[in-house]
Amino acid sequence: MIEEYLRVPLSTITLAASQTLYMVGWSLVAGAVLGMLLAIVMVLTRPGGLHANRAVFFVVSTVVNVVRSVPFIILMVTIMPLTKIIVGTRVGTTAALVPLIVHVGPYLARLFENSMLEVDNGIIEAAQSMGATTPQVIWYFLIPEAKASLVLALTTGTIGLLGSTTMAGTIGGGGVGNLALTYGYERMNTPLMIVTVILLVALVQLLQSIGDAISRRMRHLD
Amino acid sequence: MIIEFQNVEKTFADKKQNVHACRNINLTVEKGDIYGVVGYSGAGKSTLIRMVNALERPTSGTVTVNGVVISELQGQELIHARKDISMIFQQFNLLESRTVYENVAMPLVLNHTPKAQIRKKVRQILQFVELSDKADVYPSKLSGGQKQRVGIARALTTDPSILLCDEPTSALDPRTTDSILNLLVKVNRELDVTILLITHQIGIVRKICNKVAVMEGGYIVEQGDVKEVFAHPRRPITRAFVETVVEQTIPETILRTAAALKDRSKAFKIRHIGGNICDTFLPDLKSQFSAGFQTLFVSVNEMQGSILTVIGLQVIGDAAQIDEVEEYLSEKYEYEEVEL
Repeated sequence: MIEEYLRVPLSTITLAASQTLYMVGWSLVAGAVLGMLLAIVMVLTRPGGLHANRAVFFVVSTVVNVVRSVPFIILMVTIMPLTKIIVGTRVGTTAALVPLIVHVGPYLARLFENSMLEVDNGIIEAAQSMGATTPQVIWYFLIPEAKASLVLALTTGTIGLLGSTTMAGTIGGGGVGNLALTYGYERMNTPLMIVTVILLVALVQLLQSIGDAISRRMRHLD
Repeated sequence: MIIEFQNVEKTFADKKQNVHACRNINLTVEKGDIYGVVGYSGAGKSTLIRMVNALERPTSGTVTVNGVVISELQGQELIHARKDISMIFQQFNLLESRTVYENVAMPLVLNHTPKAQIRKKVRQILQFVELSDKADVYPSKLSGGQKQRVGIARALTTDPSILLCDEPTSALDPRTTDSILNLLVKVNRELDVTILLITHQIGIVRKICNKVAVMEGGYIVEQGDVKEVFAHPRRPITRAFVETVVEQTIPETILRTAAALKDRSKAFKIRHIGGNICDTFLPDLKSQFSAGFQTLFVSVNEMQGSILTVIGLQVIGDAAQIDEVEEYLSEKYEYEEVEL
């Protein structure tokens, strides 16, 4: 019945959904790790940071800005040679992971950086006065205290990522966005397009609600 | 001595100008002291206390703690030295994401102390600060006073020899302040912890400190035993501070009435530290001198086991009579003339 109404086989829809999930999932995990590393480097080396270092901060911060200023669709085609080296092919769902990670890593780095900068400097002072080493400051003080805010940042990042994956169709990545474009738009299948949009909106709402709920619990305010 | 500042200077280089936060600081804290550094904000006391655990480094001069020049330590040596110098803060700086128990345990966790040992120590310390029932509560549920108790507990878990207190009661109401001060005294007496505290509340110094240094514009302008400094404040800033806790102004109306006899009298303010002289001071004078006396004002204050008495006195008579009294006062008391 659904197939008749949407005029596509159900398997096409589930494939698209699983492709989106695959792309968002892996690039989120890898992007979050990359973003966290960059964010920690920026927080530590920024002027007044624990290991203030103008040169390192300037380089990392600039790279983050540059990557963030390239629109995803441009980034995707620009780094194709890199993609080829890493995954052996320029096209496909797995190939789309490389530009997605490169795109979302610096984006999350900025969000994470902001979250960690929100941690009161007094907490860092307290940590230092206890004789905490730098890794201990990060692990026991900075990240736990920023946790609630980091979760919100990650939520924002995930939603942004979901948007970016819709462009992955350009390099044969598939996914829900591609489904809406090729089957919905190009074949003038309005019901399919509308259903896709509704599903995406619902997904974003769901993600945001989950993120908010987790973050609120972490603040231990109620 | 346990903490010693020798010719310490601290300058913060700004783009536009250099800010001299601390200038020519010489200060010695002996074992067992509760040493108070008092000053208005921007006087440099915050920088001063942070040089004791090397959160700040002096531009020149040395800071020695327990025989080690802490201002020159780096890396592991510094980290090790800091375990013996704990610190509490005005804003408590507790980890909001962790329970009271976890906050207090944190310094031991950083030291890789075995869990069982941590549990034992934290229970013991929480009992000491009377917060045993709050172990599993998050800091956001605590009152300011309770938060500072957690801060103190956290500072004590590593059995430090020194406790640095950065405006420990400035965010608290007066009653809570008293309970925290009592706790600090208990820490000092029972656990044998030397305390260096900075504050803008001179009342704290009067209540619990045995030594005091007054800071202004980066300099220590006056320092010594609390009793001495309170009885004989020399600098205007010290007087201003002391006046906020020791009432010593002669009431306007009384002064105006006294001024009627301006031409044949002089007024003095007399300070005495020691026993109670309320009943003996005036009779003594009256029995020895022919001049007339008028008491303008009396203020009697507790000062760490002694009495600080401030008396406003008008001496009435001819020049010779007044001189004779003034000479007697100068021998026996700290006094100053008051303009009528």
